[in-house]
Amino acid sequence: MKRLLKDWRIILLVIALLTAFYYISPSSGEGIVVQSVSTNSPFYGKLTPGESLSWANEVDLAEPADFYQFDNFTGVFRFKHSGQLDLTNIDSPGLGVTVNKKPTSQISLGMDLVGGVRVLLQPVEENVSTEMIMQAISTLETRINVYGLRESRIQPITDIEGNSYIQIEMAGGSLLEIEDLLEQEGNFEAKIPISIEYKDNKGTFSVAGQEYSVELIGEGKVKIMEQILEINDTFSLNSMEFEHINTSKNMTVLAATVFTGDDIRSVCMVNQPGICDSAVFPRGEGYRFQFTVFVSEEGAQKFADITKGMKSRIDPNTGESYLDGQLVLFLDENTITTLSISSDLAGRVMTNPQVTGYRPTYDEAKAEKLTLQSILTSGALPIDLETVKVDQVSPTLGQEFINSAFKAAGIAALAIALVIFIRYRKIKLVIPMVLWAGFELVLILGGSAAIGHTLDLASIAGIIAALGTGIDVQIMIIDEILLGTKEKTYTLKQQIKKAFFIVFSAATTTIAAMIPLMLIGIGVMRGFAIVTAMGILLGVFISRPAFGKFAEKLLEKDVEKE
Amino acid sequence: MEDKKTEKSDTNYRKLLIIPIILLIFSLGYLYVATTGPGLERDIDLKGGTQISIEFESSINGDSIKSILAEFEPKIKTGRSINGFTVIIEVESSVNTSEVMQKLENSGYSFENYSVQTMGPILGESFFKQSQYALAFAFVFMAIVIFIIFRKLLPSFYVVLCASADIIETLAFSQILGIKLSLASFSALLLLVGYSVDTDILLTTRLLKAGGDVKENMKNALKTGLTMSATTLTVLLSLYFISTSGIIQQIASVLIIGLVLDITNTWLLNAPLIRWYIEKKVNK
Repeated sequence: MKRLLKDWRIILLVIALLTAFYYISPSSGEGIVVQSVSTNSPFYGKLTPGESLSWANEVDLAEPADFYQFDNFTGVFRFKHSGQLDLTNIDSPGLGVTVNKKPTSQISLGMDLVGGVRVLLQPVEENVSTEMIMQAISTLETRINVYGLRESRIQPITDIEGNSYIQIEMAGGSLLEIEDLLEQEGNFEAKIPISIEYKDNKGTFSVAGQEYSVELIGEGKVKIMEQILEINDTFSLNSMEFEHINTSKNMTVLAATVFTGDDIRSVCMVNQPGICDSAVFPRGEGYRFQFTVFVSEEGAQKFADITKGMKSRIDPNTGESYLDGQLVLFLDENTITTLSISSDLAGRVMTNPQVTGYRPTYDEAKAEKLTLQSILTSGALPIDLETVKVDQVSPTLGQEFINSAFKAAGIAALAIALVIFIRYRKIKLVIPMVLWAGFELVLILGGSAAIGHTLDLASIAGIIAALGTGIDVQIMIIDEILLGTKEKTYTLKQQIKKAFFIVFSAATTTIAAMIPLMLIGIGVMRGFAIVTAMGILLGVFISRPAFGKFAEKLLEKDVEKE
Repeated sequence: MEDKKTEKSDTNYRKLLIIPIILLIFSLGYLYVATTGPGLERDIDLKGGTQISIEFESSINGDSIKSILAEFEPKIKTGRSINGFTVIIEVESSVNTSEVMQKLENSGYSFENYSVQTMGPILGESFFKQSQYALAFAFVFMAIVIFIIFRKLLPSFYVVLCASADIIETLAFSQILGIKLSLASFSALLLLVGYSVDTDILLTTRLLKAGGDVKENMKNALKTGLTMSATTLTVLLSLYFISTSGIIQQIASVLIIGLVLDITNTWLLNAPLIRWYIEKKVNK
């Protein structure tokens, strides 16, 4: 026994099993984890997806509901994330964070096992560029963030014939929610806030170089051009809409709507030198993005009227000069983001302005560019998409699939044990064989977690297929050993070597058969192919050699006896 | 005298070949008629359409569901599942599935467990084409591996022949038994390409590489091979009867058919051929 534990095959198996457990990292499943944080959330920059949340404002967080009860909370919010205490100020109700129950392990389960919906969309037009696909994905993601739709995984897919698709997967979602996502288009508006400072309750602002006076006449009440305006009231000036945003003792903020969706004639999506820009390139330590927007004459005029004579300031970080007022972008009256306006644009009528920005990494710059482009197009999809495939599974059904698979596996294990016992009449053979099948299961699950493979129904079928080959191999090894005892033509070592020749040959043919399966049908059965191939590889290189060694020791006495 | 007698009984085994040959010819004939005529029965993921599968706790009358959903022109199939009753509703892929389910609920049916699968016809056709290529590629890969392993023309050819017979017969018999071709059943066929050669490799290796009596070696190989097939069949049968998932049932049923046919082909086709081959060599 001691010598067995020193054998490299056994040591390798033990190490592999421990590694698999590390990757699966089973846990009690108590507590919640952050799933997503929207950009306008008070937690933005504080919480990151995947982090655990354990406590908030004197409440222990065990269920997602424990956290969502603070949805109407305003004020100072104290919380513990990843074991550390932190706080944030919530000005207006709304957390902007989605959370999930902590998973019981690192194994991720596919949509068909947890319930939800998955659709495959294909562009109606042929030969759509990758850029357009990415733009469409970004638009869909923007919609999810803006409208608070259910978190989805959206990814581009190309099949072996070169056709492009977009796949949307919503865990726990329904088809109606996907339809919502596909139809949702918004109203785009861009506004520039104007601050008016009071001296003796009087102040001024200028539009198109002309000064207008403002008078503070009461709490939250101002008088502009003989009109009395309360907060949220609007008025027109120079064919532009102004809104009274806020008024304090010494200041009033107005917002001028300079562009609406109608003013955005087009947004440059594909870089065409000399016509329009849409690019990301390295600048300094990071990346700069830029793209051209074509706006209407009227929009350009309104922009010029508001920015004319506006004060500017120097950004201490970049050293560039920007106007005091920023361009705030809205989609369906939700603030999405703000853009700084370069000082040299002040008062100019520009129908093809550039939107530029800077981000530390290429991916962030590209993502920000795509987001801005989709907001400017009112969240409209740049290409027409057609639904070509839908899969929907109710959550309870997915759970039933898992339960029935477990039940089937348990019964299969018992049945195998019986068959083996009938054949060999040795309990001491039955136990290690079933045990080894268990080892292979752990190795496959660990392997799946390690490569980040999502287990779906097809993968479960693959696990069973791989375990089946494992049992076959064990039988071959045992028979070769027992055969050696009868014939005495070969030593035990040679006999096992012969068994492994068969084992490796059989494994190679099965893996060869699985390779084409990984490529077809946009990878519907990829899970099956990957898990089967992985199970067989882990088997022939790790667990089955160890079984050979173990069986050799186990049957040594029987061999000597005969 | 004595010698002649044994020789006669020894060639008897060659007569066994007739069974797998009949099976193969029958299957090829069936597939030829099916493919030139109505075509192979395909599930919706390979031809397009919509399938709504709903589980009910009590027995459901398929005809009444059919009349409720008449406007959608459905095909209805009902069946028992381990936890209750399953109704499978097939409609055109253009039908709005939410409306179908709404209509059922409005008519007083209540259900919690359901799955919906919709597949565009063009995409389905494309998947079907890809599946055929995949099967062809898998087969060629397997054949190359077999020739590399054995490096002997005839024994390798016998193994490949046996695998081809497995695939062709499994395809024919699963069609006859009403198992439609789908991505899942294609995957099972591919797995069978790999799985079925296990026992052939075992047989060929045992006979070619072991010394001693051919018949004795064959008997040992048969014992091992049948144990292997028995355990695998046990697993597949428990999967087929216990699992509630369509994908897993399809894979399991195709593999069960395949393994049963593989037992026939390995021991009645490959085994006599390889024995013949060895005896001829010895006689030379």
